[in-house]
Amino acid sequence: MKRSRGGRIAWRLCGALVVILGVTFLTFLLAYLSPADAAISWFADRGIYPSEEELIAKRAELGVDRPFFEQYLSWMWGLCHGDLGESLRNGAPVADTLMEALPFTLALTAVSLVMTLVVSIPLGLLCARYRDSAYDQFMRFITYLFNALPNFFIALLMLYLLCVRLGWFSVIPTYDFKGIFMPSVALALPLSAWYIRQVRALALGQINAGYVSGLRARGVSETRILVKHVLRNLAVPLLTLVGISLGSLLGGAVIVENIFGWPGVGGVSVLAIGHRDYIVIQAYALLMAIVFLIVNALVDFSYRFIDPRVRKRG
Amino acid sequence: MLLELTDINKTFDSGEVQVKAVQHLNLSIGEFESVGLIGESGSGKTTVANMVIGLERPTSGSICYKGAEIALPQDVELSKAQLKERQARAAEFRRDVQMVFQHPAETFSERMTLGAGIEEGVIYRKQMTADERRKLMYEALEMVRLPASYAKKYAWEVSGGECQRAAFARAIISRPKLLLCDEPTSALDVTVQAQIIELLIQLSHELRMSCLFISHDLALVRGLCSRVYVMKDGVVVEQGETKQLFEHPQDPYTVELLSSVLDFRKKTER
Amino acid sequence: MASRRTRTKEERHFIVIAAVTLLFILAAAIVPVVMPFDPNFTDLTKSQLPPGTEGYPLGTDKLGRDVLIRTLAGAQESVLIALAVVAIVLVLGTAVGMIGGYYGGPVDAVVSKVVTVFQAFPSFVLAVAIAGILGQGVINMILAIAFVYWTTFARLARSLTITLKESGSVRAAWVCGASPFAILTKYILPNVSAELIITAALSIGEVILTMAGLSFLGLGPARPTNEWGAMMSDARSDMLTAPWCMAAPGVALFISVVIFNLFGDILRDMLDRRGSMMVEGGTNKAKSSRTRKGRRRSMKEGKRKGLVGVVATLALTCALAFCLAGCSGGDKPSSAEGGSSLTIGSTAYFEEESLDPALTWWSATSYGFCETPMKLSDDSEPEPWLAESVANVDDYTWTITMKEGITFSNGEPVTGEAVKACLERTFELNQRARENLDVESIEADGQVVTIKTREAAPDFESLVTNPMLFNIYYVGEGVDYVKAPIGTGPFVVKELIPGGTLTLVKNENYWDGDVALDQVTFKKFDDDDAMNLALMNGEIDAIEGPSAAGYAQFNGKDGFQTIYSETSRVDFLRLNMETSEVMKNPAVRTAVAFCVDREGYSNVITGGMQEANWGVYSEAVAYGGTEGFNLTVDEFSVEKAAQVLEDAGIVDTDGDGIRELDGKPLTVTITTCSDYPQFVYLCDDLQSKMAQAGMKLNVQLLDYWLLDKETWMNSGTDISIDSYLMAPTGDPQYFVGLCFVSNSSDNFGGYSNPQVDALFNDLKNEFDLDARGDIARQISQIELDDCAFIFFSAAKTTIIARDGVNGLVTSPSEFYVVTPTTSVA
Repeated sequence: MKRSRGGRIAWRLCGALVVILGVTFLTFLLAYLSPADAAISWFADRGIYPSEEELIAKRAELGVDRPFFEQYLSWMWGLCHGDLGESLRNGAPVADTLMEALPFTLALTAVSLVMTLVVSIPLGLLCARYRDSAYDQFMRFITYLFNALPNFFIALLMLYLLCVRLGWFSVIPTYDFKGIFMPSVALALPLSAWYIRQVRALALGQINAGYVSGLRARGVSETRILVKHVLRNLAVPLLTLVGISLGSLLGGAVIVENIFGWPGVGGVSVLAIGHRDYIVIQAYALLMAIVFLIVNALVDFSYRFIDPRVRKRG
Repeated sequence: MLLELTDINKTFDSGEVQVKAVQHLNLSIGEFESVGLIGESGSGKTTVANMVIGLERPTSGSICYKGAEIALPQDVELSKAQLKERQARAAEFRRDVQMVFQHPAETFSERMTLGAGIEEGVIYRKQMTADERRKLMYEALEMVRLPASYAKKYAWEVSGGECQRAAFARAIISRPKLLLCDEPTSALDVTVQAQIIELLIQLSHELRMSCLFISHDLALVRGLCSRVYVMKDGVVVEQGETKQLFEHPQDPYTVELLSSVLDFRKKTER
Repeated sequence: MASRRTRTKEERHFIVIAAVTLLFILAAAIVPVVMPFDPNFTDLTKSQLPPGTEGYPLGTDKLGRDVLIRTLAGAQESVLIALAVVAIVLVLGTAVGMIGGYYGGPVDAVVSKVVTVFQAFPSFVLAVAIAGILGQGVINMILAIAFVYWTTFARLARSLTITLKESGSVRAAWVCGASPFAILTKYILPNVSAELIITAALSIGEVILTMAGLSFLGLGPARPTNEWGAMMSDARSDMLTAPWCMAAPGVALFISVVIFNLFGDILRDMLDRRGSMMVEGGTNKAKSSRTRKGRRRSMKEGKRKGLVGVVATLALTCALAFCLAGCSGGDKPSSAEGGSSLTIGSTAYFEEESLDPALTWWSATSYGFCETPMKLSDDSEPEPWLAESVANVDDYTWTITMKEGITFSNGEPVTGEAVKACLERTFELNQRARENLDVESIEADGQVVTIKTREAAPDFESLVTNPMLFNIYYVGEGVDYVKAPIGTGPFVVKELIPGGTLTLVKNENYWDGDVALDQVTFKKFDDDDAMNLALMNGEIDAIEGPSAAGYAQFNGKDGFQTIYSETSRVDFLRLNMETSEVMKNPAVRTAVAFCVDREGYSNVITGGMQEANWGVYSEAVAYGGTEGFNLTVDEFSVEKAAQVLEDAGIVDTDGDGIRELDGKPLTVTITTCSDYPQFVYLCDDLQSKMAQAGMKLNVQLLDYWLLDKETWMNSGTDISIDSYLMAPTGDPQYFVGLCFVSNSSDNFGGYSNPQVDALFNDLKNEFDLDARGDIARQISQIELDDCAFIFFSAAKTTIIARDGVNGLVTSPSEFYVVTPTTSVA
């Protein structure tokens, strides 16, 4: 049975939809399993003294006394309308809180990614070029180092050194390039370490491939080979790496945002965790998953433009 | 009649492309009979073998073992009872059939000794103690003319021919009624090929097995099989007694096939 | 093929690293168990000693625990648990992946989809979400990590299985009649193990880091824990004063991750080599170096050209540094559009989102927008403020005469009617106000307000200074009490950004003269450390209520000033006298009281900002202190605590170090809000001290305060830590009526003593101040004897400001902070 182009896209969308449904189900299940009692938390966070009747009423109001599937469906219904519930901590609509914070996290992720690529591609290529030289050994050592340091350690070190000791940056973050610089670097450093190794391995793979010796034989300079040819062939694998590293960027942002006070969704979630505000945590997880899925889909989609082989296959 | 294939069709459907691997095939194998299936690569021979052994399901058609239907064609909806019955019969059939493949080393696990590999041939079929099994294994080794010390060797330590012998040992250890050989000699040196064929002839006589011998090597088939089927592009173009077919081929394709070999032979014989 | 090979370079490397790794794992498992030191042993006299001090090679942390020993002990939690988790997910993930890959069809579809769903989440996000929802605890952390990492193995196992399924040996085995189980175990599993084990080895480092991250956020094992991430989180506030507390676990994490990563890498190199040895024959070697000569030449070339690489890296780093330097110098926060402004930070602001002076009464005056009829002098005497005078007509009648010519910030005059409307609203909404003054009626005539009470209110004059009842604010149409209440104070609320910042501007209509500042901003910080850094950098001008670390950092340092007042605020332990069997036992209560290191808490944990308290009320009030009281517990002594328990027959019968009470191990649960780090530290210290006396203390940290009895009781706690301003207006009746009297609103522990209730009745009717003090002392003695509350430390209210800030005040009542004369230089 032949499927048309549109049919295939529809099929893939279906698959994506199933995944999204699965994601919502999982996050809802998570929240449902929370040992915290939403009604009690709601009152406690406001310092109000609830009576038993008030608790029962609150539970009914929050809808937590209904059976699982009913809650799930009503939550999904709300979801379709962009309603993610209200924070247990301060009653604010979760969707608004998260949406306000999201651009910050996205900005942070984007800047970190750009920094990583800018740093790691040239350094990685150089490593491949001067393979096994002192430089290469040195870089391998350094990258090992940064790979093994937890990003919150790096963040704290940076905070200590750059904000306090050297006073170069302010502690209260400003919402411009200066403010985003430190958290981005904290995220970019360990990621670059990983990237440099990957770029090195990929570049080596390319260098050892057939066409390079052909170019060499024709007298093309090493640098030119590196920059013009190898780099171009790295585009596709690099894109894959971007997709993979996005997950660690979004995840790493949690702690880094908390340390630098950057008002992204990570910071929101840490506050929520502190208050066992599972409604926010659940919405946060869902949001991150959707962002991740969207970006990965974009990455998949952009393969077609970069790699002619994929394009031909349709 | 031991095994009968009637109107077997196999179509591979991968969404965009459809490949008709086997069309309207009729084939039968009698007891103690050696039947050959010849054709070029891509003619569908291996697909037929896979369908017999159960690695593939026919798209349509029937396979009867000892008169009872065992096939599970893809185009037929079976009731639960029917399904169960067929599966039971197919299981019985599989106990009576074994297969030898083209690349022997690949069919043995790298981590198992040849002895263990051979024992695999019987370990799932009959209940017995480890000692009894080992005895059978050494018997099988003897039958394929391999020294007992080979039981401790690994597939990658022995030559191609020795490995194929071990494969035969594994195949016959459970005394199957039907032996499928899918190009068993194609990967071996010419001198070794002859030895294997000789072994096969001996085994089929000693053990009174039927044999379905699949090959593109006509000379080998001629020496071994009493009946031959010729396949081209998924269809049987000719079948018959070996001697008759080889001396008086009817179908133009068969003629072409035979003549190319014969020509070559003629040339080398000088 | 040759069966005997000489060891390759990779194999030699592997043996070395495998040995190192194994040793490391053994050390992590054994050392914490066999070492004779207790990592949780606190000693507040040895707080924050630097590394190299006698007996403490890596120094001590804030509670005097040896950092080296803690770090070693932490290996168990950080490393072994990670190994266990990886082992579990390896097995489970592989099993699921193999089953999905082998069976294909609907089974595989389900497996694939489930894996995809899990992988749709960024790993750490999912881990945080799961652990965050389930809560603290080792099991929850393991579950969170397991749920995140299983997919890696499932995917890998599945794809390998799918490939292997088609291999020759699997087909042959199938033909032999092998069952799926046999095929999976005999044929597929051995061939996937190598790849999977490598992946597992390489994941260990990541799991260790994820665990540390979760603990850092407070989601790891419950206290006491020496998990390295948790240690680093604790050490964060002392980053500047005791950086070794954070460095040690950080380095330990680093070393562990490096070891396991090396192990995984070298393992992979070795197994890759073995596999590719037959296939490749050295395509990895660069062509030019195949000959020996060529190799030497290319190495030299490599070295020379390597220099280019080094230069490039240096150049890049310099460029980055240049960028950094170029962006140097944090901007001072811009002042309000021309004019002077002051920014004060605190971690205790804005617990609620409402500024309603009736409900969020305590901050209306300190934020500077509300005032009361009378104010308290520094000696806690009432003085006229908005009112001229307060007169006592009879036992049940009082009059307040408001000053003429005072206006609210919106220009409306402050008349008797306005005051009446405001008071009526407050008393209607605020239960505590009603409890403190039982108002029958309020009348207004001109500037005079007459209040009739149902019960005698001898403390009326001091009540009139209390914002809880007497915030004077404008009541009228269209007033938004929550966001923009209108008072008489020197400042007017401009904007409250929820959870963050309150900005007030100068009240142009202020009745009492000119206001020096144009703008005041109160900024809430979630983080003490960030707040300290902000003050350090000049981004804020003052901190209200600094943490111990902040106090240590700024007190007495050049450029900063400390403003403080002694108060009647006391930190105390509240004991469960109603539902807790252990707490109902007087010997246990006394023992617990002996275990509280009050000096240590005040001098070390709060950095000297507080004083040890042995009585009930603090020294700040005349009827407080310890003189003239009979103290059962007058010192910190673990031995005495143990003695008390021994004498009561509460002994350790089974030798596990914990005494038994009524046949059950003596376990006590303490609860507090993690917002106050000093309370958290106290819990840690108490845990250690009580353990030494043979009692087990479980610490339950919440993110909110328990503010009513039902919630308190439901938390299942035996003890809670609280901090109250016991006599804001200097009068003892407030606190007694709040906490000591049976069934009073803040008596969460259910304490009840009819003697106290009777004395309280006397107090309510006693008009003579000295006599009131005497009754207070009698009540205090009963409290000391009953030991249902342990008042362990008296607080000062402290503000740290940079030099140049004037007119910022503190007060014993904590009512006043900004004044009309507050200014910045």
